[in-house]
Amino acid sequence: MTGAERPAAPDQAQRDAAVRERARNVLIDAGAGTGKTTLLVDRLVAMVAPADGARPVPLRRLAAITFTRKAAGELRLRIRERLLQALAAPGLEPGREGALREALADPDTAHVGTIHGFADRLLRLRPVEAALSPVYEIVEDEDELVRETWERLIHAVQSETLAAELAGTPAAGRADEATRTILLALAADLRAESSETEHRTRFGLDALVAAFVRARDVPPPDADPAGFDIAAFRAAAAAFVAAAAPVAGAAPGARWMAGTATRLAGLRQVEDPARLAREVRRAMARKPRQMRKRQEFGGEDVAWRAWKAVSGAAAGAPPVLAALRAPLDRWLATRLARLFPVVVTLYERVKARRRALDRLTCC
Amino acid sequence: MSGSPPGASGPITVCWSVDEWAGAIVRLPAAGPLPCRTVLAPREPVAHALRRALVEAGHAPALAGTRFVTLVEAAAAVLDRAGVAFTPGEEDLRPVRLLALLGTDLGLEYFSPGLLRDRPGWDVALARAIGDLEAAGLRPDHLDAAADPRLRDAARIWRRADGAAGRSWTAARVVAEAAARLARDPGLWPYHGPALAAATGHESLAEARLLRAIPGVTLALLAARPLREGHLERVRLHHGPAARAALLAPPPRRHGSERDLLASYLFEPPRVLADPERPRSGGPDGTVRLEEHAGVDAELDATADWVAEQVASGIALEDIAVLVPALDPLAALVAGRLAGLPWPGGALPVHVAGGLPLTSTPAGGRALAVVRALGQHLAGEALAEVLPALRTAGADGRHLTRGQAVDLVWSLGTGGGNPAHPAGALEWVDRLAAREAQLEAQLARARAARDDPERPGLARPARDLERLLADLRAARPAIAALVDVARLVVARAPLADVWPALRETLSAWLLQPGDGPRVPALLDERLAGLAGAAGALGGDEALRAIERAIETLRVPAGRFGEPAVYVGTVSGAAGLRFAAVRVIGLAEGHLPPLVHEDPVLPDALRAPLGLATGGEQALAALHALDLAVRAAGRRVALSAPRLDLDRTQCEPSAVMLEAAAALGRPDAVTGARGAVIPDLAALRRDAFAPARRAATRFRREVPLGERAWQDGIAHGALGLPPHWRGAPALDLERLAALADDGLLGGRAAGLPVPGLTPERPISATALQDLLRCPYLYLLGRLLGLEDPAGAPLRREIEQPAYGVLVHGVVEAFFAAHGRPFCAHVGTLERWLAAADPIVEHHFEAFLEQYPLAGDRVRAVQRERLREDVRDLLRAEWELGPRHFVAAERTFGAPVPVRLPLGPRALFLRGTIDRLDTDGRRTLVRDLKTGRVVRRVGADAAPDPVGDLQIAVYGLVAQHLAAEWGMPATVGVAYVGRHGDVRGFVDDFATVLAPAAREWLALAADLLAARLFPRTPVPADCQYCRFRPVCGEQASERAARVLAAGGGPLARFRSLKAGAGEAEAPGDAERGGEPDGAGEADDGEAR
Repeated sequence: MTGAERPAAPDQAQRDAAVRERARNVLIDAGAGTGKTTLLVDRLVAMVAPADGARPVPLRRLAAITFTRKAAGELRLRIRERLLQALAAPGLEPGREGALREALADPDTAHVGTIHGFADRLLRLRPVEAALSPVYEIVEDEDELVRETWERLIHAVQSETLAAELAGTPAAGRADEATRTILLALAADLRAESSETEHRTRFGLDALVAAFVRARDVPPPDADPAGFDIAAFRAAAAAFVAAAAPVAGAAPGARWMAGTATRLAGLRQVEDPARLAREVRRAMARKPRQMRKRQEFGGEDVAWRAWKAVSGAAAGAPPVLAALRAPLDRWLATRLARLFPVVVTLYERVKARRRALDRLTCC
Repeated sequence: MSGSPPGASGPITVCWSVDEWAGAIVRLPAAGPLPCRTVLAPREPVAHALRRALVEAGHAPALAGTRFVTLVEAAAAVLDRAGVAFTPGEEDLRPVRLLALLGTDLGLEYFSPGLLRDRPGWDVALARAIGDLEAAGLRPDHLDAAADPRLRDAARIWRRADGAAGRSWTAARVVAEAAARLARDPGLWPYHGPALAAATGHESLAEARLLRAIPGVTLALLAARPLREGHLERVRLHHGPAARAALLAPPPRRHGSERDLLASYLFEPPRVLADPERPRSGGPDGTVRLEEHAGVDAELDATADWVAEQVASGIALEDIAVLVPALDPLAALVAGRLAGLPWPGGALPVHVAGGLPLTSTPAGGRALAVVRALGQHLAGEALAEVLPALRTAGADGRHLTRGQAVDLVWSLGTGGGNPAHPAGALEWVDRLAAREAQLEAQLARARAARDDPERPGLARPARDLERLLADLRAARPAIAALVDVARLVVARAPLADVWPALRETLSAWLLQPGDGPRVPALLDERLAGLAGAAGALGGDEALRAIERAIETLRVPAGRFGEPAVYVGTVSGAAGLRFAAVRVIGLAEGHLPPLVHEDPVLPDALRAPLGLATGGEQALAALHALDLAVRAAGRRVALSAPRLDLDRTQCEPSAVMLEAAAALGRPDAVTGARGAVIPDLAALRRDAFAPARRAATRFRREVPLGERAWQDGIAHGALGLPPHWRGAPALDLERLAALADDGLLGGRAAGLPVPGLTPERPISATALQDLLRCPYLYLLGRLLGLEDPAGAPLRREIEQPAYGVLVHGVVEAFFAAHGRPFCAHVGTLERWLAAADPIVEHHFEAFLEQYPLAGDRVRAVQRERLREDVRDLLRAEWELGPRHFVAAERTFGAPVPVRLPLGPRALFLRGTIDRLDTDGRRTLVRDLKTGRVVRRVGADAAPDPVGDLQIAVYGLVAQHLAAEWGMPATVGVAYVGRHGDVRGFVDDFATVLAPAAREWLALAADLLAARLFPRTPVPADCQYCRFRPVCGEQASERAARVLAAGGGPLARFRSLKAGAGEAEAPGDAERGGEPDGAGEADDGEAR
């Protein structure tokens, strides 16, 4: 059954009004298969070739945005179908026929497409103003671009050429700081690259780069880096050492408590936050994955109570482990956040080199 | 119709077909005993088609004295006569010329120099824009005063490019100059007699001027639909009002078949289609098919079937055309699919008009990979990717596999360049030399160790080293040649120097199949000219120019006119004629194409200058399609995929609607007359569905390809084809055996399995795999299926390399200090300090063969190794004083250890990490770089998978105690990261050994019976690499299979029932990092 043969819908009057309305915005909110596209096509055709003698709007001056490319293709097809059907109708008024014929030439150049396609079209119209390659391609998956961004960053940091990489960009002034930050992070034992095994994914600095790129429309606050609160760290370390003092025995949990206390005690004179961060991270890495009284503590009460005290599981006990890490994490995180402009600038360079545009930029 | 319109230089003939065009040639007023005519054809294939049409129409005598020339040839002849000297081919050189120019100060207003320089592609875009302006008969001077700064900038760039080009001219320039001179002096026309020139209205302004300037020319106007006002106006401007009027005449109408209806009414105005008196189709008659396919692949299959159908119906190959909206990538896919059709004496002949991309040939793709690797400064990944494309040294024409290349490159340590350090590309030469010397030394040690059981067993197996060394020596000359080219790039040498060096490298080392194109020779033709145009263009930009030359170069595929199926674009087929035409890829947005605005000259600037706009380009595509349909004498097929090449769902092109409207088929269900313009539902019902049925019918009757057979068999319409039965790869019995859950049994009695004979000993880790999942053992160990080789992490030492490194350090420590350390001589701190130089030495040696990038990264990894070694030493120390016996004690070499297990025996070989005694007991230890699970709670009982390895070592130590001079009482333990221990020190003989003997007896029985069932325990599959092979329901199926079996299968089921969901203690695949040493074990013998 063609559209012309379809029986009138119960709300046909409202549909017709939506087709005719020109002075106000029209919102159609309806379920699948109820005729939204039909109404949209009718409205477009009524605009490009009005039956009431109104001034036609050229199809190329209209934009029809769809959610998917398939829908865009279908819409273009339906517009052409409807224009042809209208032209085939008997008794066509010459003025309207002319408008329909003119519109028939336009669907291939009209703005009918997805929001990304629409944005793409605008950018291709003004590549100079958008500072783009004239032959850029929209990449669906930016993983490769992110990977190259990471490679460029880490190579430049390791060869101390980041300033040269960023020359002429607003991020150039951040180059030396970024180099220092990444070297500090590596010194603090942060993983450089994520490693995915069958067991789990361990995230590295490359994951941070990827996150910066993917969320670059929501930049983190560009605050000054936090100083290292060494007093807070030392207080937490002292609390741990004190809690672990009575712990003895060969059970893994007890051995970890005692070993960690020894390590922390050995760091009393150390002020370098990178080294402290590294030591704490390594101590935490040695911790048995689970801490159960019978298995990891051999049922020993003293060690178990000490563990509960430092982990914050004991009622009213301050979480010593968290307090131990917090000053170091704050110190490092506030520095890493300031890599954002550097990462984004390098990413833009990579995109330019590859003549690529991702969907976020496109929009 | 004919006439002599005002404003045009001669009469006009409207042609709706090649035959009418040929008729126009005959009608040219050439008189006398030796009549001379000149026919200006767009291309040589069109001239060929015209000659053929003349002969077939009985006008062969008209060929005598008729000269066929293209417009550019005629223009060149005019200039020659005018004494104008020029060199053609500038269109190929201009982008490179511009690339060189964009680095200089051009004094531009609108375009930013940085943008043009830093954003790739502007050279090509500007070259195209200048070419368009040139084709409109413009010169830079015409644009100097233009209002738009883009045009003024274009003029500046154009003028500089022309200055650099000298007398090197594009075809557009040749035509424009000839038109201007001929208009001033008609006497320059070089040919005698009347001339007939073809025009479509889509010519450039310069072409139209040249046509008008030809004295006494008759214009053969190739008419096409749809009519659009803008196009008619363009025709009026180019060829006069009579030409415009001539196009308005209706086309000749025929209605003998659906093909005639389609040719008569396609793209006709709806009012004409709505005429109730006009002829309509009575239903499909086989001459027209409108098809829709699930995807491009299905469309290609249908294309092959359709071509076969045409051949079977007696149509000559050269009369069959498969047309595509754009040449790439569909043309190559079509050609490939057609070549697969059965044809006497080889592949079905196919001619691809315009040729195939050089990169679609193996040698072309490899050449591109080489250039891109150089562009990536020979980074490790790039080198590993490109090495398989290069010949190795020696006369056998061998090359490395990808796996070999990956292994080799990443065993060379850190090398190669990067954007921050391009000169790193040059480091490979030194790395290769140093590594070769190291491998030679390692190999000598390994060979010695192979024959000496007292020597450390963790040295890389000699055979691996031999292979690696052979690969290195074989690949070294090719890598050195690449580095020579990279040296020029790093030094920013000009293209004129880079290309000859690269050509030499490609000639010497690129793998090129015997009958493929000689890539260096092909490229030389293009790049020799480019080198002259490139000026100072050097380094990376020179590489980019070479890369683009490779990407754009095409190689001929067949020859027009010979008996071969024609494959080409719709627009390229304009002016040709065929008996059967199939147009594929008619998805929405492909034909007519979605046209983008030109980045330099958008439509708003183009229209006033007389340049074709986007809308006119789309219309030209529809006109070409109309011409193609009219040129199909007997059959037409139009087809569209539902899923695009990029996997996007799409609707059929509106062309399908218009084709269906032209046919006017009745409703396929009711038989009633359909709407004038059908909707998509009607299209599918009345056009696509009947076409699908017809194609299926042919496919059933004549199954030509594998897909047709599979489809037919799946639907029960066809029996098994004879060629499926004999082929080993498709031997259904063999497939059934593999699918039979690994229960090979007697059918695989000849399959050699390790462990049962002294000639093929088995290792503890292989037995561990066997009891984890026999099917895993079958696939991984017996059939040797492995993960594809991949690049290692470069900022962390991966397993298993890290495990091997740790074992190496610990082995060296105990070799040097084992006795005093185990005797607790001195303090632990002293021994920890003593371990540091060993760590340092091993780490430095390790870096020679592992690509660990960056000083800070290396420092972190060095520290990690030091810490882990210290942890292991602390754990050892805490075990108390003992008597050290050996580290890395090899057993079973050269004669495997025979371990009796009831009626059978297993033959074993391997290496025990540590052997000590405490006076009354032999202590066996295995070091793990991952975590181990302590014997606590549910984990206290022996585990048939996790504890098997240490149990085997314990049993071997027990077996060889006398030979080794050690106590026969044995205790065993795993020592894991951070000093965790899982031990059977006091209860080995009572708990682990009896259980292990049962496990090993079962393993021997499974091996002997060739039974390799899957494990019924889902946890065993959790990290298995063959999980996708077995599927998600594998465990349930395995449980059913085992429940139905007796003997070893029943015992295996019982064993696994005991294991249940429990985790495997000490097992490398659970609880932490995989253990390096275990992974490094090759499963049979070390």
